[in-house]
Amino acid sequence: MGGPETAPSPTTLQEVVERVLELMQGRLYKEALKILVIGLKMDRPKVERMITQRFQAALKIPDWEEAITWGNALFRIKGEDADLANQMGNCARQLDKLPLANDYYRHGLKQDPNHKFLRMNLAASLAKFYKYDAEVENALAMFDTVTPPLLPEYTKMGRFIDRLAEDGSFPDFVALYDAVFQRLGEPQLPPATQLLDDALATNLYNLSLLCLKNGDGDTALPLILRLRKENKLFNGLEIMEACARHCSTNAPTKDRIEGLKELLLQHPKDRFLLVNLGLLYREDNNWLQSMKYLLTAVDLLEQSQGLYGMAEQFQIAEKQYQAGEKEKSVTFFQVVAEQQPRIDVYSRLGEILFELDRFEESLANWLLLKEHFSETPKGQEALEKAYAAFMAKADQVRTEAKASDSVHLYGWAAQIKPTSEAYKSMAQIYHLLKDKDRAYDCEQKQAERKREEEAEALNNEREKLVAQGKAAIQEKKYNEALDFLKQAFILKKDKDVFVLQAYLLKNLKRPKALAELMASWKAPRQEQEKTESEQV
Amino acid sequence: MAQDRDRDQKRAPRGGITDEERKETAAQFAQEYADKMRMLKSGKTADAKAGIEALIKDMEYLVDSCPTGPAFLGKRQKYEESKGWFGAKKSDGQLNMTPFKQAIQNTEKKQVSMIRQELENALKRFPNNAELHALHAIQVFQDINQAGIRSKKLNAMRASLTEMALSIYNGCDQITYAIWFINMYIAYIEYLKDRIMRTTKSADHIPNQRVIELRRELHVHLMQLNFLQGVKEKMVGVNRLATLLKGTIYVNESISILEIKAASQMLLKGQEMQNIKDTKKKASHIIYIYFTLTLLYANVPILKEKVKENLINMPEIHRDLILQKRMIIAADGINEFKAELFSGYAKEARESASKLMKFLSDTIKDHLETAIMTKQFEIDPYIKIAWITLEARDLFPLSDLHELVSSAREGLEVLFSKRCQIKGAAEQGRELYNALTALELSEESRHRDMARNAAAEAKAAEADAVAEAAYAKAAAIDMPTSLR
Repeated sequence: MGGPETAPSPTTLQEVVERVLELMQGRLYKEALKILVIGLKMDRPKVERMITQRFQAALKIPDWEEAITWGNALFRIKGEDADLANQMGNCARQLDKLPLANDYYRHGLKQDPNHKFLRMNLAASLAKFYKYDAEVENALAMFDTVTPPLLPEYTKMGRFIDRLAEDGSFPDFVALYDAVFQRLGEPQLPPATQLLDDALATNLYNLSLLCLKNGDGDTALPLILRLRKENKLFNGLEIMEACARHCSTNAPTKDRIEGLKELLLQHPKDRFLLVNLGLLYREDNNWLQSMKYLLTAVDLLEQSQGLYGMAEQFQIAEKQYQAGEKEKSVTFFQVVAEQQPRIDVYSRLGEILFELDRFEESLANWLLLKEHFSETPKGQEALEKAYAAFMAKADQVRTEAKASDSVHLYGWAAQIKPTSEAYKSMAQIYHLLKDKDRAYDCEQKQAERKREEEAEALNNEREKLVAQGKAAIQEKKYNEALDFLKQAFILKKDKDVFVLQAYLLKNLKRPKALAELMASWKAPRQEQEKTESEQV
Repeated sequence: MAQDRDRDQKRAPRGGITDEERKETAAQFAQEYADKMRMLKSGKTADAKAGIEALIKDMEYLVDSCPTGPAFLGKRQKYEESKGWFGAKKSDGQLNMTPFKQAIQNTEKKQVSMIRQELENALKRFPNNAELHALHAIQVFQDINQAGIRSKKLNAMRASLTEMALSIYNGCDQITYAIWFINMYIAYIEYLKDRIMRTTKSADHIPNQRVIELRRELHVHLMQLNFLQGVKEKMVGVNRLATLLKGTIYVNESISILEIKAASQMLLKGQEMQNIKDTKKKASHIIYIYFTLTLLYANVPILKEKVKENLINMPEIHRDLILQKRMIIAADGINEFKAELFSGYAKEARESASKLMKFLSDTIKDHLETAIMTKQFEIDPYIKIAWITLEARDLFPLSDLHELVSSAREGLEVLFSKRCQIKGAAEQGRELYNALTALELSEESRHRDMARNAAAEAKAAEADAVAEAAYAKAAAIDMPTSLR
């Protein structure tokens, strides 16, 4: 198997330069590097000057691949130069060679442990934060004045607390919360409504924040646990729980770090957790880890436009959607979906992307919803809506005579909910497109799905009749009940229905009907046994 | 082209015979054939021995007719240098090809027969003109299809295919002829497959050692032919190119060695979007067409030497050229690996796979380690390594496979990084990545199951041993002392 042509080694410096430049032009960097080594042996200062000039030029363009080649040659001469190591590390990071970049930065730090940017760049490389030198410094500067713990802000008070405040019975904020807290402690609460529930949860959250800010972790912990159990969408519940635990025990920094790291495993993109971990490491004088976590947080905060909490992101996304800013709202919803997979987030995203005619992306969201929430009634309802939307769009496109587009849409609808109707439409279009194989496949799927749908419908009908029969028994309308059960029994010879019917007929003292029922029960069974024995 | 052929086949009367007559002849032939076979299988008649000998001859001929390497074309692939008086080379610059080219589009009988004669005459005058040979081969191929001849059809098809292939060997490097060649090649393979299937079926149950051997050999060839037919799928690129460049100079003119060298130099200077000196051809177009055609040829074993020649003609002065050359070499290697796999040569296939993976890894190491990828051929080695790992999963022992899968996956991760700027590359890679993950998991679980089964067996054996020992002990106790 072939390889590059081998030319004779150059003998003069001019030949070296010409050959190197030619190879670099042909992007044959490894070969060029080999020739450069020969050149260095001939006239080191001259070649070094040339390499430095080319390296700087490549950095300016920037052509990172060329720069790293020239830099490599330079590094052989000036290996102890910390600045060069930093530049090389940056080059390697630009080319996504993170282990190589780390090596360069570490090497540079050995030469100059107090270098201005080396440690920051190393931390950025470890955090996969793609910014360099002064940009990293600026990113870290935003945490200079922040001390741990960094907690979320109070949420807006709900209507409940507004009403209480209007009442005028509470002189200040703390008194109000005391009242709420007392009320929460009451064993007999009025019947729950959604509004009351939300208001109570909001105040519970604010109260636990208040406790944490006052250093009362013991009081805050049960409240936070209750909120987490109820799965409410509040910001930073994880970090609040961690703070509550550590406030009460006043644990040393190292233990708190370990606690947060454990939590981070469950919520790797929680901005509060990351920042607090960075701050705790800073307290512990572990600068590298501190910068690493802070920079990871910065990266995430940039994605969410500086917002820490998912609740705010959701609200902003929703507002933007209502205001018609669909593209912007998609970005926000995507950030929320990444961190908190929820039905409403997925379905909103699916809807907006569908409206934006980004059907494949929309489908991806619906499929994620299907994967996680297809068992829940809300999830099923959302999927049903999505299926209807895709089918309607496919029908519309079909009328516009865009066959291949409409077949895609039908296919996507079938992915959300495989129905015989979708497969039937697909088969029809494939016939039009003269794609017999696919048409045949779709027809097969349609037939299979139709059988399943018929069986499903029959079963639903039967269950409905049985339920009606049972309800009639409850109301002591036995004759009516018998009618329902009889119809259900015709649809399927079910043991439960048979027993119910037999029970009723026996108690109603109708031996003839009971005998008939027994006969109809035995007949199919005998037939079934006969066929089974034949098969054996 | 296929549509034309269908239309021609439907046309009646064809070659002077009506459809009904042809059906009758076919039925008669089938009857004769069946009688002959019945006779051969019974082995009772005097003609049986001669019949078997004829069958062996037929089978040997079919084995020889398989286009599995350049040997199919004969010993020489290049035309002999024919010289005029006093050794001067004959010039064919005055030759007008247009009527011949039009004739292959036009099937009117009268005109065709006249042009055919003219073509024959021109070939006599210029026996080394590759394009004339290509046109002649197409003419013959069309005649075979239209006449519906049965006897010696394979022979005639082989002759026209060989003539076409040799014209390519001798410089007829054009998109149009490449498409014609592939169509002829596929038609030949289909007919040959049909013949092999019929012959091996008739050779069933004949208790002759040579027949049995040949039947086995033909069976292997049949599998190879199935694989060779896959070239049909590789036509997409060339067909697209033909559509895009329809009516331009690129479709109907061959690419010369000088042009390809000049185009390479222009690429090195960054002038690939300019025309080559004294021509109206863009350097980038020339390079693209040249590689597309060579890649297509790499899927045809009888053109193996042509592929080598094309690769030698392309200078290795730019990474893009080297990577594309290596992509073609790898495609050739993959074909070899697939052919071995299809033929059931597991050991050879494993060796080919290992060799190929090393070649691809070297390509990555030498040229792509720090590259920012913007062209499809730059991600080719990563994709191919993953593909071979998946295809060769059953050829390697588990311990090796684990290593191969993890290194293939590691390679694919580059496709998801910011170094790869090719649209759709991540999706392409994701599919393979998921398949590799699934393979790793299934192999792990298989390994675990095997370990579990082995442990269970060991435990059962231990229990059996204990039980046996206890039984022996009990038996020994019960045994009368006198007998011990």
